[in-house]
Amino acid sequence: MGSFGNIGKGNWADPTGLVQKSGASKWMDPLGLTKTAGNKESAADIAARQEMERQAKITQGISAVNSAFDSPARAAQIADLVNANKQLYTDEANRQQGNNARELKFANARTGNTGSRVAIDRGADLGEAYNKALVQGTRLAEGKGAALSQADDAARANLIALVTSGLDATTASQRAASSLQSGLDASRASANEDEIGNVFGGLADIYKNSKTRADELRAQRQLGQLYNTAPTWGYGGVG
Amino acid sequence: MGAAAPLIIAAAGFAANEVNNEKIREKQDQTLTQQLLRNAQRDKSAQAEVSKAITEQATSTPDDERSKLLQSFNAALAANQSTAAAGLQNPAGASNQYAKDAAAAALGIADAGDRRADLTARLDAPILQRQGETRTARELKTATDRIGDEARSDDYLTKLRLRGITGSPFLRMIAGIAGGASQTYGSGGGGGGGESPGAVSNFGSEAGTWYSDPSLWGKA
Repeated sequence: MGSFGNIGKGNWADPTGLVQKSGASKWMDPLGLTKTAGNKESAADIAARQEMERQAKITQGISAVNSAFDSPARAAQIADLVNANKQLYTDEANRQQGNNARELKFANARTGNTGSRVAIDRGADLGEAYNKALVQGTRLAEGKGAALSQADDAARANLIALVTSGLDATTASQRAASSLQSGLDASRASANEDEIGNVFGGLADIYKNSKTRADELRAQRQLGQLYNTAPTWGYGGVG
Repeated sequence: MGAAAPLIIAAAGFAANEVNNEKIREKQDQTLTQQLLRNAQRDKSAQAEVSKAITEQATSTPDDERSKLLQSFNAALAANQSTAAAGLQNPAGASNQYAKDAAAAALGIADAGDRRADLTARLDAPILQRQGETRTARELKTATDRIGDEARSDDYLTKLRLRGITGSPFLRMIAGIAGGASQTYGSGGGGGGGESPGAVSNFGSEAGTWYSDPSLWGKA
């Protein structure tokens, strides 16, 4: 939209701008009819310029947010969380494996199975359970990393929305920022060795039965001593 | 004056009206410019808040949280070290070998505690870090919401000011008199001079809507 009165260098009352330039307008034109608008930025020009600057700042801000979240440091943080989870789960699997290997050793001894085929089968079961625990722990650890990465993506989108709406705060095109919830449930990212469960649970009956069997044998021995009868060796075994 | 008189009077009315409209436009432009300049300052404040939040996000690491957590865990371990090794006390008549093995086991307990503390700190630190980042985002939202509120308040006041701009009463009077006089002559020529001030739409201008709605400014 142009100013209707401006024609050439002057306006409708002073098309050539000569009256105004001469300074005569001060006394010849007390109403200021020849006055021409100065060569200043109009409100529309200012608004347009500000809008362009604002859009550039928003683009810049979005780029900066993306850079912050895409940084190698961020990826390293997630990788460290995954590694820490893996180590914790592996430690737990090792602890359980150690305890169970010891229990199995004594269980085999109690039931007279040391060096037997049964002992080999039990040892294989123990190894398989351990491997299962390692895979399960790794799976859980990777899941924790994925949860943290997902939370970061939500935080990135949220911050971009905030940057956009923040830089647009003085204009009418307000955009509500999305939820400020971090989206990160601590339990989803942090390890809990209980999650790995008792992967050697299947072996528990062996230990229990072996102890029961050992008690039975002990009772039989005591009975044998009491009544002077021979102990009944040579049966049982698989507890 | 003759037949030209109505035309001259109408032209005078038109001129007075046009000058008045020009003055209105100028004042409206000034008012809007002032608002835009105030908003420019607010934009700078918003930019500063955004820059601060982005910088905090970009430099955010879990190191501090990890260090604090580790310190706390280690303090708990150190305070209860003797309790942790309570199961290794030498029974009466225990051999020297037992004592050596028990001491080695005690070291193992301490190592396991340290390892557990380190791992747990590494697990919890990123979560605390991200809680801090959420806090930063919330602070940004609070700050920019406040700036937006100020801008909306200013916008409302500016609209009130724009409605109050009516131009020069003297020029309005001239335009009114000229319009009335030209109609009195009844020649039918140049009747536009008596139009009320501010009714600029007949002159091909969009000022009537354009100026009164600042939200249209600078928007595609």
